[in-house]
Amino acid sequence: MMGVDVNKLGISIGGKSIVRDVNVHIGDGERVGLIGSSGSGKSMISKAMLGLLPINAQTEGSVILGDTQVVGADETVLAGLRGRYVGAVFQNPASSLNPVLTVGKQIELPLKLHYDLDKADRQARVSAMLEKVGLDATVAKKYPSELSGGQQQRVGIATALITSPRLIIADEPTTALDSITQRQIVDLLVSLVDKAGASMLFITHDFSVLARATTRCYVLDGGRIVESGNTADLLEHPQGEQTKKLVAAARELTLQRKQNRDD
Amino acid sequence: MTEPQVLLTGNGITRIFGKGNERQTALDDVSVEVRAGECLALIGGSGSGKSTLTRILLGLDRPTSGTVTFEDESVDGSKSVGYQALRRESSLVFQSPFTSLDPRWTVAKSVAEPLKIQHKYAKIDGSDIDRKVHESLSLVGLDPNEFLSRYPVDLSGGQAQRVAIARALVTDPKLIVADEPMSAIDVAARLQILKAFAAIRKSRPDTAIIMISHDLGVVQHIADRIVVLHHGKMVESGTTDDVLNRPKAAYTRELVAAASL
Repeated sequence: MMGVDVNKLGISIGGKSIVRDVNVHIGDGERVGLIGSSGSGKSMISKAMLGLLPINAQTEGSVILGDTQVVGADETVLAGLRGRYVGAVFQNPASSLNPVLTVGKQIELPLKLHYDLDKADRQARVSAMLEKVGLDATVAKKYPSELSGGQQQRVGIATALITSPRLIIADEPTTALDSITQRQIVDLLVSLVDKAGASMLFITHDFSVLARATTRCYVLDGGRIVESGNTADLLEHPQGEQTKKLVAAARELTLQRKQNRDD
Repeated sequence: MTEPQVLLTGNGITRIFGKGNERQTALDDVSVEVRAGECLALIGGSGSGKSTLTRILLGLDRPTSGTVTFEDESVDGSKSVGYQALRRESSLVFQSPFTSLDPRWTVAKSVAEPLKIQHKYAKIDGSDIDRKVHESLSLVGLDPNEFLSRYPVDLSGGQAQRVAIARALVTDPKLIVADEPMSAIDVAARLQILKAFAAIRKSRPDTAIIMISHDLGVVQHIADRIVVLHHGKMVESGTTDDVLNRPKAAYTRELVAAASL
């Protein structure tokens, strides 16, 4: 089981403070959102959780995944965590997938690195995973460049989930996709994470996506958490200035139709 | 009232890439028309053909069959009258402002550049350049005094995109083509970009805008008409009100449902 506790996390790079005094808690099996404008520090927090901060970053506070302190942890500890207990889905599948590996090899790789399974077993798991993410078995032989953006992101999800991680960090996984694909990917991610009983941190700047993906969320502004709470409540009754602004913008940019409102 | 003049047309545009077994039809018999002063949205998912159509409409690629005209002149190769007029009278706004602005140039220099290279402005003097640069930046909601001397690195995504829009605007083009101008920008800043386009439409009522997007939430505020592309075919075209509130094609219905909360 793996909850997450971020305590008084501070990150600065070259003397410039990026993230200050951030506390985030993700319970076991919980889907939590982190929302904020670009430059608010969202991705830095997710990088801190993955132990992927730039080498010149100075950190304070702690990030505890399960019972491992990630901040300042040894690379061997991090390598055992990443891809095994923590899976990541990134914004741009075209650049996060390896262009010279077929989809099948790509999804198989984390299994090879973290599990002692024979080839037939690994391939059976890859086939089962492809089916779970809604991809045809023939996709295994293709290269990322032969797939659409939505298919690529499905491969990204399959690669993140193949090792049955306890925590999924999804950093703007739908921003590069069109609205139909966006919705399919969010729904897919939510159903797979819930079925696996894993926890998820979902990072986005888009409130309509946030509402579908998470039950609780934190609003980040200028590197600080300015508001947090139940996602639906927060959308209905934003408190802080920044949250109000983000919610208003999201409303304005959601399609307003004459008749419907069927959420 | 007479209808505004037709500016740009694409008739029966088909574009096939590759040969033999590799043949892929990117566009299949698509016809569009853009009139002076209107804002037309080209909507579709990735792979729908919207970028290919845009490139063809701008004369940057040639259709396998079909024709493009600009102000009734054929756009057919770089020597054609239509192509040359189109180059003079159209500007582009790209998806990522940071890759479309030169990082070593100040805002002032980037926005002034089209005036210096455009034949239409061959005789323009320095004070007129300054005036037009000021005017363009103000129109997109950027205070010239604050922004002229900045470099792209000192701009937020939304500000950088508005600089790119000011640069597109500075030559008073008849047509502005914006290719996903908001998809790389965060939600709050998108509203500022929309405001900039609304200001352009108000102060330049004859300028046509083609907005390429996958986001109906964005185009609802700005487009007069919407063309929906899916797998290279035009599946729907109509007024914004009709397409959003009474979509006919199954794909449009799905798109509309997914974009509503």
